Amino acid sequence: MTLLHLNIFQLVIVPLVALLFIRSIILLGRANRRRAAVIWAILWLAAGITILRPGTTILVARILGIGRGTDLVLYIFVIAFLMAAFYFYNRMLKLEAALTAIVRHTALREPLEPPMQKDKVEVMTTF
Amino acid sequence: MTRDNPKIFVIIAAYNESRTIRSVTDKVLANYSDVVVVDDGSSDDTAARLAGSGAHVLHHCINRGQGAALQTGICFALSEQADIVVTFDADGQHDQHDIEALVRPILDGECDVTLGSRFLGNAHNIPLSRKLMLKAGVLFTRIFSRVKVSDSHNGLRAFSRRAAASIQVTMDRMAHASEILDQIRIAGWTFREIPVDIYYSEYSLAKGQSSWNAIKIGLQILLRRAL
Repeated sequence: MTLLHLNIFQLVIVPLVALLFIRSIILLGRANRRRAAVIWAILWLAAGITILRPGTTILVARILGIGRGTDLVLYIFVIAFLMAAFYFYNRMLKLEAALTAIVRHTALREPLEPPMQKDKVEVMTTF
Repeated sequence: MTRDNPKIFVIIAAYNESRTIRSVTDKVLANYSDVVVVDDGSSDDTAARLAGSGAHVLHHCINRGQGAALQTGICFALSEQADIVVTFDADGQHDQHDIEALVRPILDGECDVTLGSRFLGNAHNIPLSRKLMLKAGVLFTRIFSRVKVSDSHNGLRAFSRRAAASIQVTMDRMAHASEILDQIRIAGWTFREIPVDIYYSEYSLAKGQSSWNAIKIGLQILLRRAL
């Protein structure tokens, strides 16, 4: 395939995706972010291939028994969206719990009334 | 439990209740010296109304919901060596004279938890829609929490110290009522329902849950269970 065979969309997007792929490969070298880097590398590689060769989605779809390539992409997106929604919902619950713990901690440390606390030393904050 | 002179703490969670909070607190203080009001990040002067009242006032710097506020009050009461912890609503719909009946069985060692029931007692001026909603709540509780109570969403409850210490309210907002019942069942605390009177006013109805909200709370509980 020569450069001339690429349409404008491919000419713009493919270098971008390639850069992101290279970046994720570089990140692979860092021990603390390895798992995320692997996932991103696979994702960008898949994106690059399907943009350069749209036919590949049809191929994979046929193998999986799904009629059209676009359907395959749609299904993948639906699953990814639901996973992301659950992930963020969980994250939100954790953040809310942490926020409540902080608010509770300060509330127990500094009662408004009665104004002067004589022997307040210890408060229970087991969370 | 120190029977001669039990320390009874009454917890009131208050969010924007400046209209009723002082009179409610004063009425409870007439019989119980340890009242803990948790001002749940009110934007009105709820906390200021309690200046010099003699109640313990704790302040959530931002609103975290009634469940969170009650848990804060319970933590405080336990740190103050409470023998019994009572939860009481801030909007004036409870009768402070019912507290005695809730506390008594626990003091006598007959059970660990008492739960107020407006359907065993009297629900004055209860609108039909509210009644149906609460009955739906009771049904929901029977199905999902498998706790048989006649009134699952009553804010008037009493806990022995050990039962209160085991309660960990994590549903910050209104779903805490179901959560508390769940935890009572899981921990195996003995409980009894006590008839109490609820006085509905225009004010308390406006502060209460709409039916739509109740459905949202139910869904929230189910979602949380599914996860």
